[in-house]
Amino acid sequence: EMVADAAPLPTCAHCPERPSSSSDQAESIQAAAALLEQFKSSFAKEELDTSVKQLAQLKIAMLSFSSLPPAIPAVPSSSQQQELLLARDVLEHGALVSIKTVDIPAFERHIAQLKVYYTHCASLLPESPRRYPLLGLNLLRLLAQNRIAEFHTELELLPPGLQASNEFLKFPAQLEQHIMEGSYNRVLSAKQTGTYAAEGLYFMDMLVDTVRDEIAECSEKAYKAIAVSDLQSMLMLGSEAELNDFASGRSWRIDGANVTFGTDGDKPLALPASQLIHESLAYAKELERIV
Amino acid sequence: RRASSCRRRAGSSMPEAMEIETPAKKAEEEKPPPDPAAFYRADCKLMASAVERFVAVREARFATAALRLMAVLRGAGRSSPAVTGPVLAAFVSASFSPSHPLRERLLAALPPPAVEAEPVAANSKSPEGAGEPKKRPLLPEMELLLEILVLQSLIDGGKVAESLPLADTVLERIGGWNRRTLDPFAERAYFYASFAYEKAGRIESIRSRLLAAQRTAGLHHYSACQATLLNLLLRSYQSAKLFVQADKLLAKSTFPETASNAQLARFLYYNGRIKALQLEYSEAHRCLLQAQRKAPQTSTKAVGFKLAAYKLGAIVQLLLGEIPERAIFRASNTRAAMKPYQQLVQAVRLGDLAAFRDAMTEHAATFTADGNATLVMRLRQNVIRAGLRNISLAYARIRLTDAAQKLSLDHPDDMESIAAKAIRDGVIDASIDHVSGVLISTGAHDTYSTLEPQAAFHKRIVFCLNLHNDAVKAMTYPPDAHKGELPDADAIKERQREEQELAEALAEEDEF
Repeated sequence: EMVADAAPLPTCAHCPERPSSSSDQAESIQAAAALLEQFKSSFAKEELDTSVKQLAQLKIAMLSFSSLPPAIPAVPSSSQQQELLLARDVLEHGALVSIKTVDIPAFERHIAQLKVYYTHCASLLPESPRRYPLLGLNLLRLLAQNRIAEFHTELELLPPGLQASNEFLKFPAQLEQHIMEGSYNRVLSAKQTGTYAAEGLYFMDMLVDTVRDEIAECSEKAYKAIAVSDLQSMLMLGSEAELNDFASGRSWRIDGANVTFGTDGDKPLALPASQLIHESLAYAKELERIV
Repeated sequence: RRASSCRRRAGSSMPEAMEIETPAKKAEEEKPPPDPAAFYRADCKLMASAVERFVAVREARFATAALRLMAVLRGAGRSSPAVTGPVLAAFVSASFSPSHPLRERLLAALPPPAVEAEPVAANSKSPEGAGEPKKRPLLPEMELLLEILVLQSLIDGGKVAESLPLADTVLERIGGWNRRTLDPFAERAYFYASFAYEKAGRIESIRSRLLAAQRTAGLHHYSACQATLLNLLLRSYQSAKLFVQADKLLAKSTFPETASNAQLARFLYYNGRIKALQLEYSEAHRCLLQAQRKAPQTSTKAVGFKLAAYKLGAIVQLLLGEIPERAIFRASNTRAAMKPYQQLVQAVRLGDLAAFRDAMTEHAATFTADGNATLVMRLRQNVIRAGLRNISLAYARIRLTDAAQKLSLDHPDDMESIAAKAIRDGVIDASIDHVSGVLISTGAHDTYSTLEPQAAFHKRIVFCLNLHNDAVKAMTYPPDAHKGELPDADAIKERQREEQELAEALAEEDEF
């Protein structure tokens, strides 16, 4: 163990002393475990400020662990396994806290760090119950941020049997399919009943906004005129006032009971003049090359 | 085949030598029955001489000849391992000097060496002379080729676990040398080392070494190695489904232009797969089309690769909204393998969601084995769109509930929003009457009045012009063509003399 041989490093005010023997190491693990318990309790009580502070303290404590990635030992001893388990727990709860505090970049970072634990340490540690919910939340986030290419790449990483069977993973995959097909009403109804009603609320809200824009665009093209109440239910807006705001934002006209979308008659076909000029010049240049 | 022609030449020189000696030895004029061990031995010697010529002269054709002989040797080893194993061991023990570090390991991996029964040992006039053949110093290239042959014999013989340490050693040895002539042989070594690991199911363990090797190959300008290593890395990333990393690798590295067609075809296939997963279908389609064309065109070669390329190509074309051609589905040797995909194509073409669902459930195992399962699931949207398009073309007005029934949707209430999305995306030209729940199609208008023909023409013109430019660039004169035209000194003098005589004759005529 390199830590046992090295001379004690100079410490700054914040960082704890690097443990120079295994008993110190065990102590630090226990201290971290105790802090983790405190953190979990304050998280359960929804005291977000204290949770964030305790999370920071936990991360500083994690600095003294010696067997975290990328230096994962191939066959870890029991204390090293404890370190890995603790670190994974800290990161998982950190991810959940960052959702509650609506800190999405932090959530992204936590998930990126957790992925290493899930892939490389899968054989070394017991299965975490929060793994699939967190992975599903990540997929939901990508969907809500409209990063569809990354969503699909993430989906590829999961074995196909798992995709179909696991509730947490099936949910975002089905949502994505609904959005691609255009059955937006399912998306909107999934918000209330979905598996992620508690944690994923923020992402579902983002998603619903995106979907609402899509529905509005589709309705503009598809309908000549539509009744106000019908449109309101389609867009799942709470009241008529919201619909008025929405409509004025997109320059629709509301007369009486009907909403008409501002379509002007067929515009005369505009010639993409500069593109055609470029193409013709390219042809002329190539033809000149032919001897 | 060069080897067989050499054999015939060697055989014909034997009777002549014997006739000089003793005309009475007629019995030995009969050709000995074909002996695979002798062929193998002769091929080994030919390979050694080709390698020497290559190192001396550095002309690519010697390297290709040596590699072709190695492939022949591997084929012989596969078909009759009991005979060729001992011969290979004898050759190895003869070529490697006793102080060579790897000699014992290689000999341990092979069956005991055969005693070389020289057929011309009785002939004292043989140019080899009585006794052992000349001992030549062992070139690194020859050593590498022999190591690859031993590795191949282990893999083909099923002893994959034993081949892994040998593969490791080979990789280390390559890292120790820095010779330009090593390039074509090192490429084969990397390929078979990675193949050994893949057969053992431990392809991740070799990945970091391949990455390091790729960096070194770039520094040493081993272009063949660069191409092969890039393909091997992409393959290992693909098997582990790490497409993000594969994409980053592609972004950072360039595929050398001087690579062989086989490596280029593989590279295009992997490239196409990555792009397809990232939803860039037109780019993927272009890559896969090129991969299909660069693959060997004869129907007996590379069938597995062509099948994989055609399957992925068919799916990408379906995702783009085009229907793939029928030829591949009907060719006799690929028909059975392409059957699941043919059903998919039918379902998408007709817009039949029920048929699509049946095809999915029936052939789910095939799709997963091919690694195409997620792409196939994305086809559902295309099926619905095709069906909707057919309905909109056929009916001027249709109730939404009836349309949902025709499409056999899982949830008929989604029909309205699906139709609205299709209209927004330009798939169908229609409008919806919400109150009565009816889809009203507007008539098809004249396409010639839009810009579509111009766009289609433009694509074809650009393609033809690119083809012309590529053809012009590919035209080269044969390297020695100009030398034949140079007249030698005698011809010049002859011509000058003739011209002089002609001039004198003309002058005489003029004088008259």
